[in-house]
Order: sequence, then structure tokens, then C-alpha cells
Amino acid sequence: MRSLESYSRKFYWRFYRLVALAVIIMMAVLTGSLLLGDSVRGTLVQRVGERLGPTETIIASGTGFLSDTVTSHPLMAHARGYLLVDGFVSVDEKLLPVYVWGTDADSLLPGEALVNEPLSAKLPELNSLILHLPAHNMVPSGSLFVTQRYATQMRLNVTGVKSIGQGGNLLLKNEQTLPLNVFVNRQYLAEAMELEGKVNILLADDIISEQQLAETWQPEWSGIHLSDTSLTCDGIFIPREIVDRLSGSATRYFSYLANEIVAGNDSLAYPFVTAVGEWQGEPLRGRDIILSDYAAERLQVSEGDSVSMSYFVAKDLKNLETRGRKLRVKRIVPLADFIGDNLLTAEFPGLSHVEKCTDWDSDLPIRMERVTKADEDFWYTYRQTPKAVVSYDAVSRDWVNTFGSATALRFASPPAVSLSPGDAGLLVFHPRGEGLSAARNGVDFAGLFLALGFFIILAAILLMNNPLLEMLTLRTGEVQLCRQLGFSDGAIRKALFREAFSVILLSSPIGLLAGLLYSALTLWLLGNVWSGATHTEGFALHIRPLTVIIGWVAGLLICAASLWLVIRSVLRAKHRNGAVASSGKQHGLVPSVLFLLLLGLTVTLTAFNFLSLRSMPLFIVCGLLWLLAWSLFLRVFVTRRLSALRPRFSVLNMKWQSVHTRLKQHQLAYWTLAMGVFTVFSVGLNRPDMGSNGQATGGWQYYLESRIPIQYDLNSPAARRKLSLLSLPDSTTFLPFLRHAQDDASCLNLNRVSTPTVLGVDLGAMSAFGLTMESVGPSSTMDSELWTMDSPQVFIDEEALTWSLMKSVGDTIFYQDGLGERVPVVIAGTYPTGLFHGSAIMSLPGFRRLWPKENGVEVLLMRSSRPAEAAEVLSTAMSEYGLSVQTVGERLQMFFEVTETYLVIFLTLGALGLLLGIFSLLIIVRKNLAADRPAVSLYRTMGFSEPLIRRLLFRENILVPLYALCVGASGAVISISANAAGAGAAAILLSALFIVILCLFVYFGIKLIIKKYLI
Amino acid sequence: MIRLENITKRFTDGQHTLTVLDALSLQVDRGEFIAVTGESGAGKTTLLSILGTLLLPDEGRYFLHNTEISASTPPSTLCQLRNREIGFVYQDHRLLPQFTVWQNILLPTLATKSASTDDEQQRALELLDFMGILDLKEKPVTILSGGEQARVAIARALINQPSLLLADEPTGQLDAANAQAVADLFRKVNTELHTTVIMATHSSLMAKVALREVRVHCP
Repeated sequence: MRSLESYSRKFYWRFYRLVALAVIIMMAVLTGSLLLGDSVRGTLVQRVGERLGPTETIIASGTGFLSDTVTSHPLMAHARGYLLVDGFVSVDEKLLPVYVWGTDADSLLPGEALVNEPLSAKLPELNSLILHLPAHNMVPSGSLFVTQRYATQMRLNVTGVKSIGQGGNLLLKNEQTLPLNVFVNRQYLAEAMELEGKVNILLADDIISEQQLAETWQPEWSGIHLSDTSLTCDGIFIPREIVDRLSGSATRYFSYLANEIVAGNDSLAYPFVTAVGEWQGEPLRGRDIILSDYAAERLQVSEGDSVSMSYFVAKDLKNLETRGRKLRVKRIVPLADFIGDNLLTAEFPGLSHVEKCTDWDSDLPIRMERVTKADEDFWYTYRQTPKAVVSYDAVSRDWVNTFGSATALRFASPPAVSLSPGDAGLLVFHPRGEGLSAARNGVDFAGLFLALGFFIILAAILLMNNPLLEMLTLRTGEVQLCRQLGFSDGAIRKALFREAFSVILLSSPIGLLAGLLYSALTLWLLGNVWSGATHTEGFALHIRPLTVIIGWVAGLLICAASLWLVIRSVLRAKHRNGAVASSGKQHGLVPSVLFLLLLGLTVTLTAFNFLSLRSMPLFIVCGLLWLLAWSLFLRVFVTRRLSALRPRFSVLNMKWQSVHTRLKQHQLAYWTLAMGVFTVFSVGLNRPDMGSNGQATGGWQYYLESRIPIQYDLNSPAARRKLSLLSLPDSTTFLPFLRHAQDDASCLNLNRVSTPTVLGVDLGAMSAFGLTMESVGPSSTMDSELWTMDSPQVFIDEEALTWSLMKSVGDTIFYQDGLGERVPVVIAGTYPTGLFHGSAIMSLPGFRRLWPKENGVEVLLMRSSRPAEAAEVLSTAMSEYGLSVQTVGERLQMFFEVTETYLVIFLTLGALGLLLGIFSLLIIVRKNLAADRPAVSLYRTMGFSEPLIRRLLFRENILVPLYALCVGASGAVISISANAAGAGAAAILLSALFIVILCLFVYFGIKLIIKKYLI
Repeated sequence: MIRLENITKRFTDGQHTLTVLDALSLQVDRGEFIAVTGESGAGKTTLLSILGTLLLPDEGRYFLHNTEISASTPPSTLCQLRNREIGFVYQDHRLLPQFTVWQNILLPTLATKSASTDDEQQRALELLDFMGILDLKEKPVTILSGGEQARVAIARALINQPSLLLADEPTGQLDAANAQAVADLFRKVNTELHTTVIMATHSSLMAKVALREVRVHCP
């Protein structure tokens, strides 16, 4: 029996080679997709190792800094200290955001730098680079008393490239995108940024728990100088939490630069004034001021006299307001008293260490013409010694800021309360577990590519079935003979199954190899041609034997089931080609009614969906119902045509009779082509066109992103003056966003993200973006008042919420606030995916409550009556900030490139599947022609001319495919109803053209086969 | 009516050439009933194919109704000739399974026009009656017996009232009773419809039914 099967296999090899081809294709797509999933996941997991190196614990200093001596503590034996700064380099007028790592490793000398491989690939020459950095120093940039410089730059000699193995791709975010890193000598970087002896990140190779850190942490590490009598900070401002905790036993000091103190015609310009709770044991009340004898003499006032003091107060984004207070001189004390108390003074950058007042480098609008020689003389001798002391309670509301509520504390007795690392803003992370989880639960490429390649698999199954069907039909005589010889149907079935399955089994290993190639090729395409979907490169093939086995077994099972069904259907078929016996009406009624019902349902659902719901899945269901309805119609139509033509026998009658006889095969062809066209074109035409979605842009024209946070309100004339933006068109307005940088939850990130980046904004301005809150109702727009509630809440765009976070409205995300506390943040609603895709939107009050020290603007929207001109001015004037200026369309395009790329992949695979489908159709035609051979011979003997025979055969075979193409295309049109405006004329025209090409391809393919066959 | 002069037909597969008919000459008058006999491979079917204009001879001349059939005869003329003047009956009947009995019979009428005429439909009914199978008119051919199928095939061959009926082993698949009945039918066609019948057969019974026997031998 086995040898008989072997002979049969050889004899029918012309059919089996097509079966083998189909099995190879199906196995390749199936196994290849599964391997692709493994490979992407494996690559992401590998990336976690590459970007973290041996790091197990990250200790971040928040907005402050840590002493570099920390690493000498035994707990930090395996830790390295880094000064990590966001910077940028300019290459060919393009800004490249880079991470600058100040490191003690790598034996880097001052002025030397190493770059990682991705950055080296982007640099035209590797000799040197100019690095642009924020002008950090110990005092936060958001406070009033900082220098005018917000940015600085360094010229570095690039001495080499740091490879992945050497930790070149160090990155602390859960992203697959390769970072652009610059490694420099830490001391050199620290000096340039006036941060000598400081680090802001500790990377430890072992696990350090929060508790271990709390047990060993010393305030000095965080630049907090705590003694039995006083407390000061390197960052000048003592965080409010520390002040509140210790203030019970402490006197608070707040040193401030006032604008002037005036008494009659006399004044002191820009005097340092210190607010204190009490002076020498005597409490100070609201209007009290204590002057030094020097100040009293210059103001010519005595105790009890009135003076007025004015000073700047910063509102949001350093919008300055001058406020004044009427004060009464409570006491005049010797200047020596002020000089003797070092807590009365604070060393503000740009002010304290200069020789003359005119050398002050301050961000405040100081009018130097008001500084007199007497002021200069005082400064020369006493520097920032205060000229007066005022009540802390009276001015604290105006003077304290988000960075602190005192510049010094004095204790009457040693404080009983101890401080914790959280008080200093220290955050502890263990990134590996989170990174691996993000990588392993990232985008499921196996599922994605199985879905994308589904139609190829389906077409491959059809491609396998058709030659099998053709061969088995040819062998019906053989089957009959076997029956006559006493073989049971079961035995015949088994024999045929064994014969065909052995071909499937033998070709399957080739399919697995093809799967490897498919996977490798797709990975290459994903890293190169289709990198728009992944935003990275270097995907590596990861082969898990279990996956290969699963793919192989699944493929074999599918083939076996399909083969079994084909054999069963052939063996069960009797009188396959019988003519319609009598009236032909017996098939008409039920399908007719069903057709009408389905058509009615489709039209009603489509109209309802179009007018109200506009649900994409429902439109697709409508499209499928449409296909089903017209499939029924095909049957009804053929039967009715036959009935109508019955009274007179004609060529038409012949055509419809032939179609009717092979209706099952024609239905197979119908579904293959109609589904293929429907799937490919509905997806193709549904390609979103974000630019046309008003809500996606909110009416704004430009999206600006600053590498160095902007501390000013660009809408204010003062800020424009300061930043040389006076040439901006007057109509230019900005919408600023604060940013708490976390992971990117957009489609650009393949990792599963748990805490997306948060953007803080005035929610009132967000109504234009269609921000809605579920609990209020889908059409309700949030206003900022609702955001004064206790629990912080965020909005997340629909796509990121569903696909990246896999959460829904009402769920909670846990963020670490500025104190390192884990804070639950409720997802209150969604907004249409658009400019802020992948970010969570929070109200400004909520943002400030969670991260009070993060107050520079990194994201802005801009609109103007002359937008291009405004963009040009901004690019030029703010080049030091690393301001990237892009139109909202460009920004959206970046996101839609991902969708677009997936659609291109789908369309490519779908088109391949469609071609396979058409190939299957041509095999069906060939089979029909083979079955028609006796008829053709008969036609010839009866005097039918060759053109007439060709025409007859052609009409029989072309009718259903063309019908299927038309129905599939019209179904696709229904499925894009929701996106009719967005599809774009070009896409519709292109699709129409493609349909025409398909029709022509099918038309001429069938014609060619018939011509070849008749020769 | 038919004149064959030194007809030679060879078949080649590229390497070998097989001469099937070698200088065969034959004259057939109108109304004759001829049985062509000979062993298998003698060229009976080839002869019928040449007579039916499906094959052209390599050598010699073939006249049908005094018109020479040759390579220069336009294909359309040959088609017309086959359709109007010649009817074919095969051993396997070659009925098209997708059509009913009535439709199978009317099939030749569609070779030159898009629909059968009323006359042709009427003639189909008469032929069905003539063959004694009128009650099978709307039946699918797949359910007919061998004898019934043979009758349908003969009726189909006669629908265009050809002057020549060519039959290739028409009783080859039939039992003796049915074979006799079919033989009688051919005789009836020949005598009542005055159709010239040329029938290739192995059967001595069928050969005896014919008025003349032409025996072909392997060359």
C-alpha cells in the first residue's frame, strides 16, 4: 500500500508540488510570525541588559544633587556616581537630543568625550563636538535668584566610541529606541555647570533598598548642612517639608534681594533683606523692620519711622510683579550684628561672588543706574550682608517658592526630629525588573504579524486545497474502483490522507526554514525599511525551539484538518455535476428572503452607524454583512437567471447553467477574492489622515519642544524682550506645558509602559482637543475648576490608554511624587489621539502639587497669523535652548508613521495574500477547464468555432471573480464610511486604480489560461 | 457525397512517426449506411475524424459534397460544415452533465447563434419522440441509463438535420439489448431521415446492420 501511495505521489506530483508550495508558504508565515514575536521580545529584553548594564539600583537625587563622596560609603561599594544632564548637539542644523553622562570611569580627561555607537553614526566627523547644556547650578533654575544664563556649551574632543558592551547605550527609560549618549569627565562637567563635587544619579550593581538607604543616608550627602544649632542647604532653599518638620524648634530665615527701601527722598537700591521669625529673642510682627545703623543713616530714619520696601514676586513662569510694604522701623542695630550672623546671608549665584554690583549676573531686571557709589562701596566691603531684617510671617507668602520656604534654620536646641532621604528628594528605583516586565509585555509582534499575515495563511490554505480538490476529482474513477474492490470509504480516505499528508509532512521542514527566513527578513525590514513602526534598528533573531515546534505542529494540524475536509467532501460528492432538474425555483425563495433581510440590515446598520455611532468595528461588520448578502444574491441571481432563461435554450443559458453547476467552487473564489479585496482596501482606505482632524491639533500650528526648560512665559512681553523674541508677530500665542518625564506610552515605544510622561497644562485650554471626562459624559469638556479635587487625575489619549497602558478610564496609575512617595493618580478621561499621544495630561494645580520643583516649560504649542515667520524667529532666537520647532502636522506624522507603517506592512502582506488568492483562482479555472475538456472536444465536433468556445469558457469563469472584486471593493467603501473624509482623494483614487488593475489582472490571467489551454 | 483519394495520415511525437492511414480511398454515396471495421489501431477513429473535418489528411484529397476539404479551407467554413452537415455520436456519448436532456440535444444549435429557435426546439421534441425518450426531456443526463444516453447523443447529432452521421463505436458501452436497439435506431435514421451513416465498430452485429462494410487495416 505504501509503495502504491509512493507511485501515486510521483504520478500526481504536478498537483503535489503546488500543495508543497502552499504548505511552505503557510508554515513560513505561521512560524515566521511566532518567531518574529520571540525575536522582538528577545531584542527588547536584550536591550534592557544593554541599556542598564550591571545596574540593579538607581538612586536619583531629584532636582537636587548628591555629594560625590557618597560612593565611598560601604553601602555604595558597588555604586557609580554620575552627573546626568539632558543636552543636545547640533548636526547639520538639526538638533540631536543627547544624554550627557559625567563619569569618573573611562579615564576621560577634561575636555575629552566618548560617544556611543548610535550617536557616532549621526556625527559627520568624530573629532570634536559642541555640547549644549542647561546652565545648572546648585540653585534651581526656576527660582528668582539665578543668573541670566540658562544654557551653556562645551567643546569636547571625541576620543572614541563607547560600545554597547562597555555600557555605551546606558538609558534609564523603558524604551527600545537607542539613546544618544555622550560621556565626559565628571569633574570637568561639574566645573562647567558650577556643580563641583556633585552627582545626581547613583547606579549600583547590587540591590539597595529604600530602607537600607534610609538607615545610612546622611543629610550632608544631599547638601543639607545640619548641626545642633542650624541648617542650611547647598541649594540655598530648604525644602518646605524639612522646614515644616523642624520649624517647631527653629527660627526660619529667608534671605531675599529687595528692589529698594525708601524713606522720604532717600533710598537703598537692591538691598539684601532677611526675613526672620524673631530677632535676638524678640518676635517680629507684620510691619516691623530692623535696620542696620548703616541703612538707617543712609535713609535718615530713626526707630518708629516709616519706610517702604518693594520687591519682585514671581508668579507662574517668572512673570514678575513688584509688591511693596509699608514698614515701621522697630529697631536700629549695629551692622556688626548682621555681619556676625552668617545665617542672615545666602550665597546666590551670580550675585555673591562678584566685586561690584554692576557685575551682578541676575535673571532679575535690575536697573543698574539706580545703584549708587555708596551701594557699591557697601558691596565691596560687606557683600550680601543684609541691610535690614523683616518679619518672616509678613513676607513669607510672597517670598517662599516651590523649592523651599527658608534659606536657613536656627535651632535653640538640637532638633529632635531626624530627616529622611525622601525629605531631600532622593528616589530609589530597581529598574531591571520593571524593564524586563515592560519588554516581555510589550507589543505582541507574534499576534500582530499573525493578524497581518492572516490573509496569506488563508490564501495558502486555499492554494493547498485547490490542487488537492482538482487531483481528487480526477481520481474519482480510482475511488470508484477501490470501492468496487471492497475498500471501505474510511480506508480510501486514510490512504488518500496518508498519501497527501506525507507531502505536507515532507515539505513542512522547508516551511520552517522559510519561516526563519521570513522572520529574519521581516526583522531586517522592521529595522530598516519599516523602521517607522519600531523606531529602532538592530533586531536580532531569537529562535526558541518550543516556538518552532508550536508553529510546526499548528501548521500541520491546520493542513491535516484542511486535507481531511477536502478528501471527505470529494468522497461524499455524488452526481457533482448534475443539472438543475426542473424549475430551478426550489433554491430561490429562502436565499432571496435572506438576501433582502441581510441587505436591509446592512444598509440600516451602516446608515445608523454613519449618522450616530461612527464605530469603526461596526463599519467593518457592515462590510462583512455586505459580502455575505451579495454572496447569497449570487446564488439567487444565478438560479433566477436560469429559470428566466429556461424556456429558450441559449448561450446565456449555457453560461448560467455552468456557473450554477459549479456554484460551490465559484463561492470559494468569491469569498477568496471578495474578502481579500475587502480586507486590503478597507484597511488601506482607513489610513487615518490626522491633519484633517481638528481635535488632534486643537487649532494650534506648531509644536515646540525645548531640551532646556524655559522658565519664562513666552506670552509675556517681558519674556519676549529677555529672549530676543520681540520680532515675533504680535498675534503669536503659546500654550505652555510642564513635563514630568517618564516613559513614552506612544506607539513609538514597543515596551509595555506603566507610567507615561505627564504634561501639566491649563485644562481650560485643552477643550479644543476634545478632552472629555467619562463620569461627566462623553461630550462634556473639562474645565480647570474640576481639577481642584483632592486626588490627582489625568487624561490619556484613547490609543495609548488601550494599547500601551492596557487600562481604562477609572483605573489608577502610581507615580512617585517629588518626595518619592507612591501616589495614586486616577485616569479620569480620554482625549482623541493626537499631538499628545503617549502622554498623560494633568491640570497645572495637580501637577504642581505632585512635582512642585519641576516648573520649567519643555513643551509649547504655538499659533500665529504668520506662523512660518514666528517659527523662524523662535528657531533662531532660542537655538541655545535646543528648541525643536515642528508643525503640528509633522508631529502627528511622526505618530502616524507608525500606524502608516503597520498599514503598509498589512497592505504588503495583504496584497501578497491577494495574489496567492488570485493564483488559487487561476488554479480553479484550470481545474474547471480540465473538467471541461470533453465538452470542448464536443463543441468542436458540433461546429462551435474556437473564438466561440473561448468566449464561452471565459464568460463562465470571469463572471464570479469580477463580481467578487466589485462586491469586495464596495464592502470596503462601506467600511470606510466613518473615515470618508479622512481617507483622502489620493487614497481613494489609488485604491480604485488598484481595483482596476486587479480586475485587468484577473481578466487577462483567465484569458491567458484559456488560450493556453485551448492550444 | 464523399470521396477520399489516397488519404494518408501520420502522427508524430517528434522522434517517431506512425502512419495510421496509408493511401486510403473511399467513395460514399448519399443515403448509404457504412460500417467501418478493423482491428484496434487500424485507423477507424482517425478516418472518422478526417471525415468529420476534425483532422486534415497529410496526403490525398477529401471531397464532401464535391467540395474539397483541405488545409486551405477556412476554419470558419469547417466549423459551419461540421455544424450543418455532420453529426457525431461517440462511444461515451459525451453528454454535458450540467445540462438536461433537452438542452444537450439543442446544444449544436448554439454554435452559430445565441439562442435556439422555435423550430429547433420543436425539432428537438420530435427527435426525443423519434428516439422514444420524450418523457426524459427535463431530466439531467447524469441519471440516464447507457441506452438512454446513446439515444440522447444520436438525437443531439441529428438536431441540425445533417446529411452525414458519423458514429464511433456507438454501442461500445452498451449491453446486447441496448446495442440492438441503438443499431435499430441508426437504421431508422438512415432509412426514415435519409441520413448517410458511417459507423466505426468492432461489433459484427452492428456491421451487419450497415448496408456496406469497409474494412481498414493497419498499414
